[in-house]
Amino acid sequence: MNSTTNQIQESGHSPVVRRPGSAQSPAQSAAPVPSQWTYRPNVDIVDTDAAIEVYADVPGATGDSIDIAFEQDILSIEARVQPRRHETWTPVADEFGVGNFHRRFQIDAAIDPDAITADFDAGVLKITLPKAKQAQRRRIPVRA
Amino acid sequence: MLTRSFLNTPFAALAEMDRLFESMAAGCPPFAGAGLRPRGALLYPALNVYEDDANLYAEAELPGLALSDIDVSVTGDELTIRGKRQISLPEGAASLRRERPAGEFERTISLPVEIDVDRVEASLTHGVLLITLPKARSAQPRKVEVRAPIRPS
Repeated sequence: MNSTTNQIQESGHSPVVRRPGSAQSPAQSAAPVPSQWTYRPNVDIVDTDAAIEVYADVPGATGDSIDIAFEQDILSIEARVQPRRHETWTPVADEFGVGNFHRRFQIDAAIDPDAITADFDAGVLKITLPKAKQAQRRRIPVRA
Repeated sequence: MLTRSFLNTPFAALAEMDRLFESMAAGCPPFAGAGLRPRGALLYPALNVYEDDANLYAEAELPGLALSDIDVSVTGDELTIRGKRQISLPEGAASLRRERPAGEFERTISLPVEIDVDRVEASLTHGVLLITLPKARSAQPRKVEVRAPIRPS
């Protein structure tokens, strides 16, 4: 395959970010739990010849809770996740945190921004970034 | 101990970690027998477990799966979650990132109380599995009425 490994760069630091004003981890508080942490979704990214496709696991998000932006080669994915724990539930085991997802990538391939599409199903977000049509290769005659 | 096949199958690796952790936890009083491990242990799927008076609730993130890909079974005080996630990416495409877990998985935890096995329910919403495990009657807190002493009039 063509050397495409440098087309995608992580942009900014998006690993688990603590939000301002959150003093407690959700497990410790008994009250209904708002999303206080932001998590980095796992992604698969592939390069078909026609497009870059991004698949992100964002369990607990819904189609209308996801914001995708593509600006100046930066693809930004943000998914808001509603807290699921009922206020009367007491934690017994706490192995993963529930919160919003956020991640950014720099895409160096030439993308047609108007043709970007996104689908969401069963907690998986698929973003298709079609490549811009390459400028046609033209033969320049040399005048003698 | 690390073989090629071991590294190539993430869930096998996780299962191995699970076994290792299990053997460690056996000698470690806070987790011995509880079947529940501290945050950060490499187990799949990760589980959050909650309880109220009537039920236990076990929650796992399983994006991309249908309920038919998941097998939930409960025997007395053990919960087992099995399943398989198949990820199909366009053929012939170059992979730039592969982070999403795929393959078969199985995890068993022991539950802190006895469960009414016949009334266990599971739902899958936007990639989140929620298993509701009703506590057996004997495990439910009983409200004991405190009678006021009869006062001599």
